[in-house]
Amino acid sequence: MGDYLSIKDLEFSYPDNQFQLSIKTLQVRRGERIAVVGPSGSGKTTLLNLIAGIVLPDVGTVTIGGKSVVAMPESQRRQFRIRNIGLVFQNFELIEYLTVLENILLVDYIEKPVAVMRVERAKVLAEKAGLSGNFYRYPHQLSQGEKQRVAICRALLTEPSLLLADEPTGNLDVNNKENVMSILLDYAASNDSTLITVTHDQNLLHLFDRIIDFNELIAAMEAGER
Amino acid sequence: MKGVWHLAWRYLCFHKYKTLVLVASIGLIVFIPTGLNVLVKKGSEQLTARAEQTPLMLGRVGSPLELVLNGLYFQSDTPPPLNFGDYLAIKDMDMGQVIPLHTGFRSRGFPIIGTRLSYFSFRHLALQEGRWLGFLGEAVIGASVAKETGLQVGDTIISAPETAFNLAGAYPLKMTIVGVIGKTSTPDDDAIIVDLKTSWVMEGLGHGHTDLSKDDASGFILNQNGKSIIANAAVNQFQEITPENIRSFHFHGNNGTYPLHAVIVIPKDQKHSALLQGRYQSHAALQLQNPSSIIGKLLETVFSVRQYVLIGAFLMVLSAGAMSVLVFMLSQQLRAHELVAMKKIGAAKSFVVGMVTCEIVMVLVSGVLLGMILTLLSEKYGLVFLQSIIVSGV
Amino acid sequence: MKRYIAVLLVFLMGACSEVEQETSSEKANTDTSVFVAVTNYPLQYFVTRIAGDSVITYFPEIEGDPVFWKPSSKELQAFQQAGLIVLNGASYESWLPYVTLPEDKMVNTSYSFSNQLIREDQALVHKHGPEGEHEHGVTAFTTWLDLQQAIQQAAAVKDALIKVLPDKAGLFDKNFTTLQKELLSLDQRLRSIGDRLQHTPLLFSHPVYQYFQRRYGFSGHVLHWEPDIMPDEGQWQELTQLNGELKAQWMIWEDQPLTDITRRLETLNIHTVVFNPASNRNGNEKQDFIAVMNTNVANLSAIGRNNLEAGK
Repeated sequence: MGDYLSIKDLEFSYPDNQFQLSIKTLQVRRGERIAVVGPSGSGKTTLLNLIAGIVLPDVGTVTIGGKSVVAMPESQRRQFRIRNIGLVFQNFELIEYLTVLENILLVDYIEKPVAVMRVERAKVLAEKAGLSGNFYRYPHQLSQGEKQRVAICRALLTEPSLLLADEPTGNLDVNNKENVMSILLDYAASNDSTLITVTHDQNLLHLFDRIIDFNELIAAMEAGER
Repeated sequence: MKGVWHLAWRYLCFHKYKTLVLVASIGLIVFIPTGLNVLVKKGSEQLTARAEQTPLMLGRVGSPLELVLNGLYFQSDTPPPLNFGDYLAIKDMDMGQVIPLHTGFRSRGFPIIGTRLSYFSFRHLALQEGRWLGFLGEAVIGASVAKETGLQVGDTIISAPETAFNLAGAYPLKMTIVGVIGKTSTPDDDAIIVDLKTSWVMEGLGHGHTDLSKDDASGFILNQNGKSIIANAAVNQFQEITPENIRSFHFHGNNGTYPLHAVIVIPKDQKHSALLQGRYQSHAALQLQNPSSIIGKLLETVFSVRQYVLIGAFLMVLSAGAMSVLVFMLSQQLRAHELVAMKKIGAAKSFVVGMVTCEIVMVLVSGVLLGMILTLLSEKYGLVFLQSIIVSGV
Repeated sequence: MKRYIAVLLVFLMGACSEVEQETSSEKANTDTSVFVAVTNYPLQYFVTRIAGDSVITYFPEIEGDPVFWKPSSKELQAFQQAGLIVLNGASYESWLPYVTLPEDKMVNTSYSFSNQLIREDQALVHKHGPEGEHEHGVTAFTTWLDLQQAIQQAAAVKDALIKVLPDKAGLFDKNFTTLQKELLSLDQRLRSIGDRLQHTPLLFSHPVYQYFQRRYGFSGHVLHWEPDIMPDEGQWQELTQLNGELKAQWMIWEDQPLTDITRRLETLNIHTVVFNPASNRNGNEKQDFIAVMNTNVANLSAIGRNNLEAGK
């Protein structure tokens, strides 16, 4: 079984600051669960954005399922992201004026004709995430844990083969942390989906197959420079 | 595309107060200049219509505007009176129809118009209830008087004296309402119309009292010398004219000196109109005015004032518009996070722009619609509404 | 400031719905048949003679003398709806000051001789209130018993009718001329009787003959007797005393008096003559105005000729 995600000779810098990210090579198998750790500002979130095609590298390639994200035209890349990648953010990024159900269905509002929206799937996901009584509530009426569960349901609606989670438990208490992680891990396991999670939480690392430590990456970069 | 509209709609619904404020301010931006225009236009049409329906107006020398405003709309101060003899004189010229108006009294704030039956047909008034004036002391009320006071046929209404210190003997008179005029949307709706002679009774020129030649009147008589009887002040001045006492009502002195406030003159034709105007042109005591030209002059003033009001309104619209744009911009800034998240998830830039555009379009269209509805409403009810506010405020 | 408020108020005067322009009065104007309201029988007669079927006359049903009639609300409304209101004037319509009628439809038939009207001397002057002394006067109202005045009244009726129905001016003029001739003839006959009787003292039972006396030169004393009420002893005494000087042998009555009255008068050598003013038609449907006047003239002409036949 070959690599599902592969990054080669990637270099990225923001135009207006000194930040630089270089990754010589990174290969991830389908279904692999990876935790990304490292200090703040080290480029963990940037890595997720590069994988998702939200930002593009200066040089190098990002290939997912054999397709080069970098080479795709913008609209195709967007479509690809919608269909294959589920995104979970630290701040949930729920739409305040939409109900729980509508937030889960957001991708469909963006992409699909209203007639073929996956309402049933959204409900099933929400029920599984313990949100059955909250379909028509608004984000401000939910607890932090509930909000993140809604955000995860939204990411899972399209049944993505790659899940990118940026500090999904950063704003949660212990109980909710475990809950949220188990939803993500269960999904990845049962769908053979790849899960890449940025986290600061040392207690969670044992749940992952592999840990990418940005401290090492930086050290390697510094060594390379020398 | 439906998704764009749905999200835009949901956004506006969620922020309903902000949306309402925006719609209302855009509505006002549309309404203020158009509504003002409509009100001015409608008001001037109304003014002009009644003035044009009234070819000429005779009054005592004084302010022509006062005469016309009082004679047409029963507003303004009561103009100085002319004599009934002046009315008879112009009537005897036989150059057209003449209708006397006595506007000196009020009741519950409504003007009491003393006139003749010809006034009703001249103004095309139709009864909604009851009958026309028949006997002294009867009154016919306008539709608004009936509505506002709740008075009906058979009820009574008491006149208020012109001034509290009217020494000429103006006594409050209790009048019976015998008819209610159908709504005309003219000042006649606010009028209490009585026979001219009834107004003269209020003036103290006609009265009823105990028959002084009868035996039981001896208690009132101070001095009787042959056929001349001097009665004391206790002679019962009737304050209400009833079928029982009506025959005792009589008028004193030469009625040629009785007061009127205006005479509506409807000349037979243009030639007679010109002749009449010529005759009164240099009259020392009387003025014969053409109401539509007086009102025309008034409107010129109103229109020149309107220019300033419109400039003011335009500045207001400008600032309200700027405020609305600011509100839009600020709310977009507050939404930056949300819009970025949408883009990250996969929304195209055109989707985000489309969504915001839809919101703006919905708010703008609703606001413009509101403004148009307000304008239409003000065309239909604005004047009455404003009038009622001002009347209750004055 | 008040004036500015007034201007503002006027400006805001309601302009909602279109005013109904069609009114009952306008509709009435398009009605072809003209109603003419009158206040006594002579006027009704004049209108009928002059206008014939061109108009419909309205003369309220009145018991007794129309001069004492007061319109009811319904009768007044009928007057208000009339195309022409023919009045006797000379304070005949004592109710006029307290009613509302369309001024432009009223015609005062005695207007042309209003400066010759007779003011009764029982007028009452009194004084009270701020305006001081004033008079409640009474004007003699049986104007048409001077047939010259009757002609002027008929002429006023004709002029008014022509104003209302100008197309029929020719017809009305013609009819008036015929009527005028008949009235003139009566006038002349009365003149000659008056000339003949100018030195014959007469008694008048009621004060309704003022113009008649003035025009035809009848002299005498006026009483206040009613033909259907037996005078009391005081009145009889007054008569006896009065007639002691006057020596009148004839008493003019508005209507045939009670037989008892006639008999008692005969004992005083006073004969009864009926001169009916014809102000109403009560009980006299067979005779019209001219016929009644002819009878009156015939009755009068008997005076001084055949004492016993007079008044029959």
